[in-house]
Amino acid sequence: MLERKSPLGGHRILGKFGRKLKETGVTIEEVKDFSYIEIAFWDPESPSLRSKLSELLGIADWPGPAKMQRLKGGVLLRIAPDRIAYLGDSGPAEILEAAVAPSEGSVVALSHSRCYLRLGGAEVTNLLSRGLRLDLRDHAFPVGASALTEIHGLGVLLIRRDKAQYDLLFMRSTALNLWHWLNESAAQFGYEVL
Amino acid sequence: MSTDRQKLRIGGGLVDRGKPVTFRFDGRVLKGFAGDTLASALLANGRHLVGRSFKYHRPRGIFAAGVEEPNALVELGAEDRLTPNVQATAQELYEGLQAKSQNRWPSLRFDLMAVNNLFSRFLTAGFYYKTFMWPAGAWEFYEKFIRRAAGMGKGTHLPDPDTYEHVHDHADIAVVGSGPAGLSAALTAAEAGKDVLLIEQDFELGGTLLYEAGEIAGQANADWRRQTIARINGEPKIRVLTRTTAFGYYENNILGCVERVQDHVLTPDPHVPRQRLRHVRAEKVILATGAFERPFVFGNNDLPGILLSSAAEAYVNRYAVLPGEKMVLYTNQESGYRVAASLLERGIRLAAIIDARSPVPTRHHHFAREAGIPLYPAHEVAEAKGGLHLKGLVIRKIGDGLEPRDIRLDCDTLIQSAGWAPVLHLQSQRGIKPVYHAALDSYLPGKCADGQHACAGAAAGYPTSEDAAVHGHKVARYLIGAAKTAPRLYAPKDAPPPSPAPVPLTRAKCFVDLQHDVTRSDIEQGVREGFRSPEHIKRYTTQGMAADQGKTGNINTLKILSQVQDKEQSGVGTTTFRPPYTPLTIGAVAGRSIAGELRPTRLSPFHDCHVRAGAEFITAGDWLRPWYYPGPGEDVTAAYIREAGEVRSGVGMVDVSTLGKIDIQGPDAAEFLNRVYVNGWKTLPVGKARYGLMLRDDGMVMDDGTTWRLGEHHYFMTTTTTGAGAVMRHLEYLLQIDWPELKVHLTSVSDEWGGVAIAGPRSRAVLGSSFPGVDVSTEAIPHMGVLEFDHEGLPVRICRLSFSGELAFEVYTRAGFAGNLWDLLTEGGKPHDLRLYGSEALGALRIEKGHVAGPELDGRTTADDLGLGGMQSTKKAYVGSVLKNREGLIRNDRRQLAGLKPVEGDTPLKAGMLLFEGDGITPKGHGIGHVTSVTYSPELKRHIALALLAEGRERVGTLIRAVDNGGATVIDVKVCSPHFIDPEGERLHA
Amino acid sequence: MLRIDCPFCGLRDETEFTYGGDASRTRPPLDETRAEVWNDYVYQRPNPKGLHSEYWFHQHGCRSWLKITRDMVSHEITAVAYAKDTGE
Repeated sequence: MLERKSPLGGHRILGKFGRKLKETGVTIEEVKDFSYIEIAFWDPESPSLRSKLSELLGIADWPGPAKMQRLKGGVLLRIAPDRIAYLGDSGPAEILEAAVAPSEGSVVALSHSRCYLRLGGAEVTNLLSRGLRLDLRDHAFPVGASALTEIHGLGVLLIRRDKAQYDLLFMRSTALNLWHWLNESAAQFGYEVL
Repeated sequence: MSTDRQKLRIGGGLVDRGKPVTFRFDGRVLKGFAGDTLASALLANGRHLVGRSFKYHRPRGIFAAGVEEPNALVELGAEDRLTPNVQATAQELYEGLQAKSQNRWPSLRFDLMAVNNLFSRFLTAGFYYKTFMWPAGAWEFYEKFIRRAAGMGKGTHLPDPDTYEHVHDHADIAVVGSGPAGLSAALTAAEAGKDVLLIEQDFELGGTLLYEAGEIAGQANADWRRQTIARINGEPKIRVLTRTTAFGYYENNILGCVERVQDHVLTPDPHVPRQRLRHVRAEKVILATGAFERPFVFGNNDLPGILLSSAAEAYVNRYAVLPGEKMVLYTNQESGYRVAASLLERGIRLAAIIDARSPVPTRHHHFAREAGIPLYPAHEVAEAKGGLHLKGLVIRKIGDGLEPRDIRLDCDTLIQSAGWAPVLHLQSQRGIKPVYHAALDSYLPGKCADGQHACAGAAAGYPTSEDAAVHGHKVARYLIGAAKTAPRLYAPKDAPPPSPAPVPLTRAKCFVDLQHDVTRSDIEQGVREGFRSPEHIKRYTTQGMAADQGKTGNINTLKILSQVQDKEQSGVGTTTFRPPYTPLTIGAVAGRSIAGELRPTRLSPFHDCHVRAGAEFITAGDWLRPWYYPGPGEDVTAAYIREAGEVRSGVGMVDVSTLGKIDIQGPDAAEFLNRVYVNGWKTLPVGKARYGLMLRDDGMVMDDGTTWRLGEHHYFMTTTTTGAGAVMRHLEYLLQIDWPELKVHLTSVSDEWGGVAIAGPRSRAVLGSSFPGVDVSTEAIPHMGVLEFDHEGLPVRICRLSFSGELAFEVYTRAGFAGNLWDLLTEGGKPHDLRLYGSEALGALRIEKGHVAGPELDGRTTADDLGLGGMQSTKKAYVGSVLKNREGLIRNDRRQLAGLKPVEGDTPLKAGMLLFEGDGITPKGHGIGHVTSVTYSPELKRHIALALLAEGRERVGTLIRAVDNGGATVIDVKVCSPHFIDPEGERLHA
Repeated sequence: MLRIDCPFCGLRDETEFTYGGDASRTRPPLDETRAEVWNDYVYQRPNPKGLHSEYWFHQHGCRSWLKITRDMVSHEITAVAYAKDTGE
């Protein structure tokens, strides 16, 4: 089984860094071997397509801009008016690819194109406000919300998994730039690379 | 020599006597306390003289207690943290602080440059336009001395050791200022459930409550302050930012703020930024920015020992420092007496009060009598007297005429209060001009409130802390929608008595702008010379242009303009306020976007492979690409010549991952390609690729690339590296805006796939060895053929296409497996002597073949210019198909792609050289074309170039000249076909 | 700095978008052969002191092309819609 190489390579060093405080303010973890797939629809409103997919994947509802849908192995996000994205284990990915007919839409596997980090800690929202211009207050970006946006001109996908936990995905080729920004900005909070 | 004595320190105040602080000023060790500013600590130690003025080098002392300070500018810190022009009145004192006075030599007390004072007649307004003009060439000689004599403070050229960052804040309400109005507004909004951001430039909350005597709702200011701050600290909806200045107010209600995180520690924590630039986005903004006190204009009003009365109150009540031993008050305001009473409470009796009003209200007469303070009603200060410090005043009765009777008063301190100027800079930055209110003799904000913001408290003209607190509450209620009536600017019920600010007859200099040494006579001179508007006067005299931006001088200037031009004050207008409100470090603006982070670089998925192979890198657009792989002792030239030769004679591998890659799917994909490319796409079968050229709507070539058909409705498009983003935007524009009926989906897969090109006569053999079991014959992969397969788990996509002109294959895999692919190919390449080549060699190879790239696709060339006219279909319409036929674009004297060979084969040409006829006439004008790409051809063993040359195809075989260095370099070149080698393309089918 | 209320993503800073030019023009049909018509489409633009209809691309967001009405003097944005929906 071939191993997918992380774009961070030797730059990701485990341990505690930055300010030495009683509580580590931020944790950073890389998620590897994930599936990220985008599905675009000709008619994003199509009710029959939506119900077919919802049933197939076992999700409660169709994903909306602020509501991700959890399924076994991953989540389904709505990233554009006519596009959804699957993020998680590889299993459901195959179901999706098989389920969408060319007359309904198109599927693009993008698992290798992204670097995927999971960020946590009491100061994680504070940290993100250093690079993200989004309103991250609880009412504006609640748990379950996702957004495509940018940090210093580099595109990112942000998902709020919990009050103090986020997923951050960005392009493989820009990974080191964002990794450096993250490490530098997190230093003031004391951070740990898990 | 150190001294422990803070001889002017008195009791009380808010300084922390439990935390003594040691600091140095001009080399002397002095003591203060936590809670001092540098200015208050200097005053406590009896140090008034803190600098020398800009032009005249006159002795200057501490004038104010805040950011309006014009005189007390010091050089703070040392070495790489040396910062000039720091206001001592705003600099928090910290242990180990080092500061030096500026603009003097050899010392503050004895400054040789004070000789400028003697030449002051020649240094008046606009002197630099009139002096040092002759002889014409001598300016550069004068300039050296003038530069040394002028300027304030010295900076450092050492790299900044600190870091800075930007932060993005969001709030429902942003409150700027934490005086009574700001504190009140913040609490009102928070208690109504709003997220509030309270922004305060000082290190303590409270504004005027920190020192001003007064009452709010029956409570003394100090108690109300303490209680309110406790409530605020217990209120989770309020975020407090101290040491943070809102320096700019921008479109969409955005405030630019700078937070001074570590400017109050000697050794900053390296993990924490020194300063933060905060972008505050609030639904509503409340400007509770207070008001500046105005000074009088009189002779020698710049002597050390002359302060604003509110500053004196701050030094006494907040910092527990006595500004002087014998203090006189000069006022025309109620507030002057409030200060007098406040000082009296502290046991400080003024030596005299000079009141310019006539009559002075009775209650002030009472107060002075009760306090035993001599009062001089309807008097003005004509002149201050003193050398390095104030020694006395010459006062006169106003209206004494041309033969005044001078009264001499001895004193060492003059505190003055000539009126108030609301701090309306931020609102004014939003384009709302201030308005003059005659009743208050003051400029008030243009409006009190609108849907997005409001001014509150003293900033809206309210004179007392209680008025301000009430107004702040009203303003907050209005902005949060709890009150319908818009709050108003202050309008007194009864017009207060006029507050004259007389200008005495005196020969002594009457300063209007202390920091730039601008006097009243400079303003008058400017008007005489024809500069009448405030904008012109400002620039001609430099009033208001110093670091303090005229905070204590602007109003007086406007008043003088009104008097001198005999115009109504309201008709004079004001200058435009621009950010920043107070100076900003460039570091804060740059944040983390410095050095390597300024322009992020993208890395190929093969990057580590290149590093291991010893590559030298170069940036190409956003990307870092391998430039060449040096052999022992090789420079770039030796390396690329070798590498290119290895490709043509054997086989080479180059990283092509940086090309733009777009996944195209949908039933209308072929139709779409047909509309955007110049050639036909409907007949491209599955499993084949085609070279495509894209035009812009104006008929010029936009980009080129290769598109592969992977499935019935599935295509894989490549673009040039630098054109990728623009092409993607262009295609999405067409699909979403112009042709929404087409069912086509586009997804960038530039980062999903990584690829290399294997090129050279032995390239097929390398593929065969790398993928045993896969049929890589010419039948299986014909020219432009596509093959997809899985090799032991490695997904592979191959297309036989060539940029170099040799037999070549582009081999892609998913980016995370790039290393595996590399290893596989290097292993498979071993028996065939596979070599690596970089972008320099790639360039040489494509130039030899005459393939166009960036320098030829410069947006000004048509397909025909590039010799690709034949690609353009005549059977269909496509983007650019109509306008490409405009007369100007089909003329045959256009600059066409041509090849150039210098007559002397070992003479290099340079890209950009202009081309001229070979007629021997001196080259003049723009020439007949230019050189676009150059290389040394390893194949032909000579220098060659591609060029865009007028009638290039007609001129094949002729001799022309390439010119450089403005005509100094002239090289004879022969025009030839741009396809220098293998023009029939036989090698592609090897 | 402009802030644009993307119909899908919500209020976002200008840095997520790129400008796409005048939206008051319509691409001529593909079979249009008159150069003057194409010339007008490619080059002719009104320059109003006031409201302007223009396209913006939400590059770092949902990648929707939006049609926006913006006042050229005050920069105030008065309308935002998907370009697709405006039936041009």
